[in-house]
Amino acid sequence: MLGEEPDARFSFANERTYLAWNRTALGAVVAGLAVANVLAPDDEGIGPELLGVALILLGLVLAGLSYVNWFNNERALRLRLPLPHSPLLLVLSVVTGLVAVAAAVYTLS
Amino acid sequence: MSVDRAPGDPDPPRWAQAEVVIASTANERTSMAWSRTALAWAAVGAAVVRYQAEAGVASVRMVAGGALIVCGVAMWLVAQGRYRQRDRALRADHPLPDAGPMIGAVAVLVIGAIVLVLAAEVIDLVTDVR
Repeated sequence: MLGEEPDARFSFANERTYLAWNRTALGAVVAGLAVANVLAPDDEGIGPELLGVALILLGLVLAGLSYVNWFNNERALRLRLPLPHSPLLLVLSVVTGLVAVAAAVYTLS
Repeated sequence: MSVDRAPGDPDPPRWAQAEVVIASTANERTSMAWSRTALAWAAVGAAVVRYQAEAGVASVRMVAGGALIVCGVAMWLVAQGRYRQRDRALRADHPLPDAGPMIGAVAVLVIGAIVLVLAAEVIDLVTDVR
């Protein structure tokens, strides 16, 4: 394996962060399922379904990026490099904001 | 060290040293994070089976939901074994076993399940548009 063994606490913290992102990704998927299948009646058109698909897509992106994030962090820890900046929070914030705006517009229209 | 010691006192046993105590509790918190994640997988699997009722092809969402539930149970079981294994490594001052295969397997499985959930929802959307 690459580099030196990092402090065990750092590896644990990196792993917990990955798991927290994993749950966040699943949270987006469940939110999407709820919007598309539970909250909106069938005669509401495709608005809720589009919103639901967007949220599930967000979950998919987060599930993929969080692995890259874990891997890059572990690599930096082993090579004694500074932790890389993660795009994950930006992706989560921007997409959540967009979904919120779309939901507000849809609700008011 | 959390406890003051007089000069000449013997070193505390390894399991009582601050860094080992801190790492052991970190291991325990990590194991609990695995348990929460396993529960989340099972819960999402149940939600897929129960609430994606109208979406897409039944077999697609049943496979996605069932896989999430089964993987959640398996993940919980594996996490218990990993906690013990890593606890022993910490006490013996050995390096932790490589976490890469476990994290990689989790990533592949969750991406696969989400793709199936997404496929069911998109099939539903396309059917509605027609």
